[in-house]
Amino acid sequence: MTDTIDIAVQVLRHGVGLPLPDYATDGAAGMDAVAALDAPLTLAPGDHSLFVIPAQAGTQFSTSTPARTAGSRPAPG
Amino acid sequence: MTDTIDIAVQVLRHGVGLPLPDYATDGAAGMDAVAALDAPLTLAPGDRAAVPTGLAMAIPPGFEVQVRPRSGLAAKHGLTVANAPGTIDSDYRGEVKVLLINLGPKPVVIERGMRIAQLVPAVVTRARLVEVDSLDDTARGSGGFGSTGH
Repeated sequence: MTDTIDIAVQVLRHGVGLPLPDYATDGAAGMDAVAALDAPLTLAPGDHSLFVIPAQAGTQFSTSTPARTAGSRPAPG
Repeated sequence: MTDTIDIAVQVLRHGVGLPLPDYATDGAAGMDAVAALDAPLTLAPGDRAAVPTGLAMAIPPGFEVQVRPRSGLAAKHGLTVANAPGTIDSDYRGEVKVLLINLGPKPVVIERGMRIAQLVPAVVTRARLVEVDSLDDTARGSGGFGSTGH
């Protein structure tokens, strides 16, 4: 049995047309979020995009999260 | 008080003879999983590898297992888990592998039986995303990365 909560999401302008994060399988712990980039972004070895091109980084949605739930994680291996 | 769940594990052929993941101390949050390598593996600086544990598992629905780095390996060698915390989903039945990456300046040798990561079972809360036109206001608003200072 899994607890489920509702999270309100707002799709921002550059996220329009992209799928909302979703569970890939019935047993997936996490929802896969997609990149809402306007153009492809190349990461050189060692780069991390956030501080290189702040305007282009980020996902397409803002969330309103219940206070007790927080955090984000890398995708599963 | 700590909740305990049962997780069915299958020892794969190359894992035979190795200890099952276990808690090193009474208060340990994670079970140490060991490398089920046939031969030593050398990770050059910057290299990564999916290191087998010789185990497959059936995690009960509603739970996951997080794969976290071991602090000793990180401190001594710069060896960590590339996708930390890794997620083992409850419906995954393949071999558990640990994506180790060497962030240190020297090659690191990983040998069979070496404790490479810790496994932490956790409750999963799932979400239903409800699309709205606008979100409620908060004091923080849209202040994101770095917005709260150092």
